[in-house]
Amino acid sequence: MLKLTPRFLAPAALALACAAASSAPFTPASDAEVVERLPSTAADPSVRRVDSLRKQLAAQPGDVGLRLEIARRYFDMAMAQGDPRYVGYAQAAIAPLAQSAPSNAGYWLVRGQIEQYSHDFAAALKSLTRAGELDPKSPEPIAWRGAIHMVQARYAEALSECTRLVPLALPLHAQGCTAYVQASSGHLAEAYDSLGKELAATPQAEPGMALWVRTRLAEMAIRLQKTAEAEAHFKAALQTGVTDQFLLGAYADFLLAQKRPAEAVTLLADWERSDILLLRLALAGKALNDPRAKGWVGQLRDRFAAAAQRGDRLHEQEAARFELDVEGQPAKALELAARNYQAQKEPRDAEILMRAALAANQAKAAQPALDWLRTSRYEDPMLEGIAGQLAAKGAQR
Amino acid sequence: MKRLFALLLVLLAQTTALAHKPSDSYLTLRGAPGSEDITVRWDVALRDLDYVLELDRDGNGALTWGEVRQRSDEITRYATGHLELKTGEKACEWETAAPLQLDKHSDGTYAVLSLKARCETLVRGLKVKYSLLFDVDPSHRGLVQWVAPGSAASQALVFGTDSAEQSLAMQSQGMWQTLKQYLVDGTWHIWIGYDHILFLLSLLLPAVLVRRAGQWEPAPSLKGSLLEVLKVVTAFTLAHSITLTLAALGVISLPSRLVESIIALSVIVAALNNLGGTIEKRRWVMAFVFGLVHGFGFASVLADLGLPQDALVLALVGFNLGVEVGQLAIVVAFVPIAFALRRTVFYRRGVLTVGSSLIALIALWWFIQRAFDIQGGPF
Repeated sequence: MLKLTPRFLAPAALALACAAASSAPFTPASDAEVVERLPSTAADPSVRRVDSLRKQLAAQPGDVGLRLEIARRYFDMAMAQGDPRYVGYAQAAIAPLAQSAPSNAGYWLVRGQIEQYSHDFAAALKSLTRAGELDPKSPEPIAWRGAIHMVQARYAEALSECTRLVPLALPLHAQGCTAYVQASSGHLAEAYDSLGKELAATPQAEPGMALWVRTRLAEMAIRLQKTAEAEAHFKAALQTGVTDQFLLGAYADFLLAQKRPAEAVTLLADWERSDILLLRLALAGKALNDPRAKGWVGQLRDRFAAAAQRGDRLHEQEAARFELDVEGQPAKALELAARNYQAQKEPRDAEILMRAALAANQAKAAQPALDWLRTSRYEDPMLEGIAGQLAAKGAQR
Repeated sequence: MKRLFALLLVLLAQTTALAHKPSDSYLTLRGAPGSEDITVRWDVALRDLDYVLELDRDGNGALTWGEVRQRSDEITRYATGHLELKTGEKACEWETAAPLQLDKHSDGTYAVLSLKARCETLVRGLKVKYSLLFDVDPSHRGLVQWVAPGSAASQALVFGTDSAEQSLAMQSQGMWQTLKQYLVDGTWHIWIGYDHILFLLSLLLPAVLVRRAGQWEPAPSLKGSLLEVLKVVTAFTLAHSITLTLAALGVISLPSRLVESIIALSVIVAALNNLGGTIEKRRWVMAFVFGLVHGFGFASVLADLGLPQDALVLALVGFNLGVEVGQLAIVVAFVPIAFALRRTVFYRRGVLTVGSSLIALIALWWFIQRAFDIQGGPF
């Protein structure tokens, strides 16, 4: 924590401060006081590199390759650190290319990635299709299209993208893609087996890829009720040494479900800056009666309020879970979960919708998720259990 | 490539996993009753300021208060250069109200700018144009809390790349205040709108004369002249009030180039009529017919000024009354002098003939300019 001494300069400032949503402004006591830790430090080579590319670009603003390189680097940084500002920077970097390089495959790929990040899925699919047309040998537009189809629960389309990947990508990549889709559409056990075998056959798998496969295997094992195997996959994923928020979130959820909140708190120490992980911290803290829980909950409340104020709809799944599990507001949670489900239809989105509908005593509100569960043949005993309770309260199974 | 592809697969299940807050700035704009100033508190993330201004001079990633404080002026200039407050067509002027401070938000430390915008008048509402950081981060948003003068509640607005310009609703001003403001605007407009003045003058010049056997002769009585003036002014007023109202309420709209061209034409016709005398007795008819078109001209000025939605009728009445007041002032100044001079050759030749010819020439130039969309010129 930073040490800061609040001091009020003038009554006018104080009056103004009362008007603003936040607390009173202050003036630090000394010039030497550190007031902010910037994410970009001289020690971080990726930041240094992109900074120097930006300087080059200032000298040659017409350089298409340079713009794409900067945008790609920023987008990578956004993915690794979960920082949406970098997506904005990437967007700004490629903005002029709409005019100057409209037939550049790289431009359409980055553009499609940015659009999917902003949940503009229809536009993203279009841009990625364009990228694929301009560069048919590239696996990336295809994999990204697959990812978007998965988010929208269009499994047949996703599977056909995986098939198109086979001649273009490494076997583990194509197999990972296929298994992921199959596990969501009625072939969980086979998918789990085949993906496990493929991973075993690829000992030299690149760590990021190994982490992805391990996380998927862990999730599948949970659904197959192979708890010990799930735990082993999570541990192996953590040992790849790659930092990944999604893995941490999934493992924390597993620990919470196993009633091991203390381990979740240890796992997520220092991850307060991530909304999705802060949510898990708050849940674990609450379960433990940890004195820090109140602070975590307060921070989350602020962040969701800020997102709502800016009209941000990207956090609704987490916001719904916060309202349901932390604030105990099922009606509010249901509203958020229902709206979220219109855009995103991943199993986690269905789960929160079903749980919120059950808690709010509005079983029928979960109908879209129940329909998905039935038609997709998604296998998950936990979801089946909730579906049974919803059916008992009048929903159609 | 391989690395990116792996990252992408991670993403297969991660599209929703957002971690940080996106870039926002927080603005509180506050008006005070009886004041034309807007007090502004503006919180901008130090991180964002560093991105555009490189505050972290030593590049060690630890931003000190000194590094921020010493660049206060630059920060303020940068910020105010990306926020424009406008009343009507006039931008408000920025002033620093207090030294830069800091505040903590959920995602880090923000610079707190205390500013004052000096505006000319708030009666017509306030337009805000926000462009902070949009060039480097199109996902940036400006979150505004607007407290209108005399209002207890605040209104929330979000400024983004596709909503960079918005109007701030005014707490309904005092009725008298609104009426007065638009009255002044109306008067001012007729005074600076030379085409309206010249049209009216062209119609009024012969009011102190009568036409007998193709010759202008002095009117025998003041009463007759005043009656003539009254007919012309009333017809003109009635006509332009009708169209001004219809256009301001959005019932009819005409392309402004057409309207402006016909207004110029009306001045030519009215002036030439004084030379040839085609219409002698019924100048009020001409005043009425062309007055309809002049009303559309007034309406476009009113549209540029902006109409308060909660006091539309009041503003309309005020503006129209203002036009009449301006008109009346011209009549009051013109009639006694013209009446006194009506017997002189100077008036009949110099004022009426030469004056009308000059007016026709000027209006002809306006007409060409407006009809063919030519910029510049002597008038």
